[in-house]
Amino acid sequence: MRILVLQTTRMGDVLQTSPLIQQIRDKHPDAHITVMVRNMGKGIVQRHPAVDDVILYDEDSFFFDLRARDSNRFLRAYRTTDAMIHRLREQRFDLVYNVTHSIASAMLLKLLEIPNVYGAHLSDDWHFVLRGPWTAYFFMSVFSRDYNDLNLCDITRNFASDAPPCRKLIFELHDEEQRFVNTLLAEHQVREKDFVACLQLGASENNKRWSEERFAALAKLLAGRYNAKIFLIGVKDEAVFGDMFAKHAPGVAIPLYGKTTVPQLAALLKRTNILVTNDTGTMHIAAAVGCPIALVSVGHVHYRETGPYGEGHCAIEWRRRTLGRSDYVPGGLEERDQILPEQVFKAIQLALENDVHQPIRQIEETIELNSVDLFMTRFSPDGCLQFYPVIRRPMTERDFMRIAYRAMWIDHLGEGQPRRGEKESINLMIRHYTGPDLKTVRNWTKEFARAFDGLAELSRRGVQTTEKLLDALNKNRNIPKARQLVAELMALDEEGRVYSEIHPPCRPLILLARYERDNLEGSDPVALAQTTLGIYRACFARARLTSRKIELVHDLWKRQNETA
Amino acid sequence: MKTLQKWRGELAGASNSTLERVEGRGGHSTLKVGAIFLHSRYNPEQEAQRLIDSAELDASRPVLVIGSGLGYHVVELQKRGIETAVIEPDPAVLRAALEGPLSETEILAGIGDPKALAASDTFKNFALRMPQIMVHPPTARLHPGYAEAVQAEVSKAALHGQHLNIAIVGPLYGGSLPIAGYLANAFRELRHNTVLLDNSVAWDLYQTVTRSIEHKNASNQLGQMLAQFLCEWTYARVAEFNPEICIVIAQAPVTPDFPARLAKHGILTAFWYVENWRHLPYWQEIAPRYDYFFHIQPGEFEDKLRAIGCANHAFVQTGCDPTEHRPIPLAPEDHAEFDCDLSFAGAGYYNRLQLFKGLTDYGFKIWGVDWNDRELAKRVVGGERRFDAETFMKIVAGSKINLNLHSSTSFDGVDPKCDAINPRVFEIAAAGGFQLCDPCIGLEHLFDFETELPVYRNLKELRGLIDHYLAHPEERQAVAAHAQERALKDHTYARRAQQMLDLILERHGARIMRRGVRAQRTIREIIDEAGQDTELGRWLATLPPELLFTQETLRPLVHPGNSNATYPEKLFAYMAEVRELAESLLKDKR
Repeated sequence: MRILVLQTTRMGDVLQTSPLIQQIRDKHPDAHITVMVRNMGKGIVQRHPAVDDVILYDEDSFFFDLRARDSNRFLRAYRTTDAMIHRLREQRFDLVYNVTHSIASAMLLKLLEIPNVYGAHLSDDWHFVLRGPWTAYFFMSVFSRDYNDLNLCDITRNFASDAPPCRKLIFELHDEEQRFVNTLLAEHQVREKDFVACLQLGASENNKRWSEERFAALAKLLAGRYNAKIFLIGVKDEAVFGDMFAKHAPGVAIPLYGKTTVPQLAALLKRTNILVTNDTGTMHIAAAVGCPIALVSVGHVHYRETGPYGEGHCAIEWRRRTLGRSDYVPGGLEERDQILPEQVFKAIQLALENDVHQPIRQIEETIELNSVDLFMTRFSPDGCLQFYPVIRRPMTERDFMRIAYRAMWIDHLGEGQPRRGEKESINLMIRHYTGPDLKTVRNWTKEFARAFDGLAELSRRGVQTTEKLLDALNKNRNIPKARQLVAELMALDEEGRVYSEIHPPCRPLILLARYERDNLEGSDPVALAQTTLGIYRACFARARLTSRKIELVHDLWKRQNETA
Repeated sequence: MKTLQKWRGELAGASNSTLERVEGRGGHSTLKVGAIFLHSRYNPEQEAQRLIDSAELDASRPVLVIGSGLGYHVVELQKRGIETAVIEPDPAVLRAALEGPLSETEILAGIGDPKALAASDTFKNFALRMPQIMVHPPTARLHPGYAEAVQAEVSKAALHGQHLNIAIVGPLYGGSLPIAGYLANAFRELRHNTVLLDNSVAWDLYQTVTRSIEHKNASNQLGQMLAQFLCEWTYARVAEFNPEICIVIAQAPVTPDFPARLAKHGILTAFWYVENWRHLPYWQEIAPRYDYFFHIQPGEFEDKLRAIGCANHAFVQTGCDPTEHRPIPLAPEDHAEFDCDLSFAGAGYYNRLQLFKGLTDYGFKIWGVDWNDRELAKRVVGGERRFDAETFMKIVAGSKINLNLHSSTSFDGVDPKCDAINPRVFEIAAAGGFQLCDPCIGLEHLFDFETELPVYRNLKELRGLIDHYLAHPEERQAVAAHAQERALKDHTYARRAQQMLDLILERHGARIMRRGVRAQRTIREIIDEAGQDTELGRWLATLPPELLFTQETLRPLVHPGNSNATYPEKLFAYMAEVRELAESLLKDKR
């Protein structure tokens, strides 16, 4: 079998796909696995032992020809693209996992005519569709991150869910990188037992960067407390951040901008005691080599989705009323200065003291920390990464729903696989909260249960209407009636949308159902109606399942608190 | 022009008595012609490397070397994988190169007269590939003017038939406004990808703003600020379109530094000054700044332009647009308004008021504004208002005689020194109207006064002509027909546009070549190259052949979701999506 993994986004995303690649290998030990990446991902994927072949996706050549607005170059772009398609077709892939998710990637796969696609694809009439339940989940979670508790790596690796789980990022190091690092450290008089800290000041966008001034203040704390040898890492273009850093903390850190390859950086991070970073590709490299990470989560990124995949890492985020969406920045640039160096320093101390074989040491709420959320990573008994709160605070409604949703999605998307460690996972999570009182939790439970009952009722009406539609199409061939029922379904969809505005916890399920409705393929009305019936039934089932999980969380909370 | 090795036989006897081979210090020889060494005596190979490095050539495009010398630079170009051809004025030099460093080289070579060279198909085909020109400096010193002559021929051959990208910048208001539109249409008719930057959309705003403030200084300042903003808007649009040529029409809201800003993008600029230079002196500040300055008054004005350092200027008359200026049948309900013996359409300048007062005993109708004379005002149709091109055509259609009198603010009647021919001359002629006109200087070269355009010098002559032609309709019709034929043959805006283009390319074609042209080719032109029997060729054959082959024009024709969608459509859809995604990522990074 010939398998293609299409991952043409950024370097960090390629690394985050490495568990999936391993799971594919474990599921198909004899398959030929090819990964298609951009140039920036090539160095990453070449260090994955499960990969047989790497194809470079280079659209730059034809992109510039397209941009030139020149007929000759346009023709050349066509020929370049055509040649690329034919080369890829000759590879005769049997199965592709599309973890790029873009419309362009879906179009590419359509042109390649690969028979089996998991991920974003196009229907025969070139509509964007999502193949696979975890794909649909991923797209939905982007718009309802308040309730998403699953890391991208767990979502992605579950594209190959019926394989032994791989719960680590994979990047092999070679001896030459190690030798490079030894030389580098010797050059800078860093001894074996010295504390080494790396700071990644850059990020892909300005609003994702903690300010240089804050980094500089933190560096002084690290130097003072740990006598840390501090390196500033990043690409050459980021040296300007290092210059700004140096104005606030002259001589405190050694800039290494553009001085290391990716493998050399990985080797350096392996030796590093702590990496302090924004949400960057460097963070994932550090996670892959087991370097403890303090993630300063700024801007529209969210640590639960894209935080470091591994145990013992710390994430710190400014407390916001709402998390928004991954394409919308709630805080704007002023967030860059909200998180204080002392708060990040605290996170670092906790990460360094952390023992992954022991429970997470929580700390009490203080005035100094009340503007931030602080979390530590562990793998939960349910098998997915979890960010556990480090600061003891009462649980909020959002936390409650998120716990319930996590249990629901893992159950539902697991497609009948045993629900490992569900209760243990919930128990472990709720143990990290101080409150609220039982009465409050009971009230939440009733309110949420009512909301999901309402959603179940909406779905039931959808089922009934669609069944009538099928009758009208199959038995009676009553087209006017069929049209009227379709109109009713559309009105029901709108009713559902409004319902999700009134009952935000229901939004993920309604969004997912909408995605599924938008994903309908083909034009045969009967087939479409049958698929629609399936969608409403699924929505009904999910609403019911969520209600049950809400009850479960409540029951476990009650048990824990009564015992206490 | 042919491959170098095929020149051996012909060059066997070539000689130059002033040519001497000199052995160099590093073991390489050079040539000395007269007092000039063609290469370094110490290290000609290193010299060749430096020459090519400094030329900043695009390795993906071919290079035409002017001056072979012994060929060290040609060899270096070959080493760098750059496709090369060479032209050498002196056969003896090329012979020496063939016997030396170029003995094994297989490239195209030409010798001698540029015009003769340009006649060959090999030269033309090579030129069509838009080669970069690299001049061998010692050859240029030995043969002054030769490199320029070759470059001119290359440019002409390369750019002939190319669909260039041309921006026309129009004014907010006034007589030059429609001219901007006509010129744009003309370039499109010549199959160039033309964009008209229409600033007239801002006229209402300009008037509203400036009229809303009574204080004159403040009002002027606001008007200037708006004009400045419009200049920035214009610059942004031109820069984004990125044409080879940008032509600015008189009164367009651009600042004097506009051409210099565009020059940084490699865009050639031209200005068409369709004004009377004596009345509006702003030409003094702007004319030298443009790569070409076109005007409508030959003679004294050209001396003035030279005096202020405007090196590239040319007389280009206005004209007619056959799609706008054409005979139109009057609807029955229009006859009452437009039928007349005599008409004039335009503004009531001083000389017109004076002269036309002597015509009120005729069936005389006037259209336009500023007719501040009691008698004449009675003849103004529809009151004081401006008229559009469509109305003007109706006026011409309804009038037995169309009067034309070039404006003057100082003469009564005909201005004997008038040398700024107005567009009305051509527009009336193209519309098939019979016209009587004053003999503006230069008009005699454009129309025959006997058979195409009768002229008058004073009221008495004018009345005589009116009487004659009112009494002889068949003569009137014959003259009008001749004038129309002449206008459509010699005085269309397409002719003017081509004239401008020829002048620009002759002078600046090499610059366009260096920059490279964004080729704008039609579907018809691309099909052969794509291959008629390929999937692409077959699909293109289903499209309008004159459509330009660009992503923008193909986009609405691509339907990948249709059940019968072709592979090329799907591929184009994919390419469009890739571009859109990449553009949005680039925009986010900015």
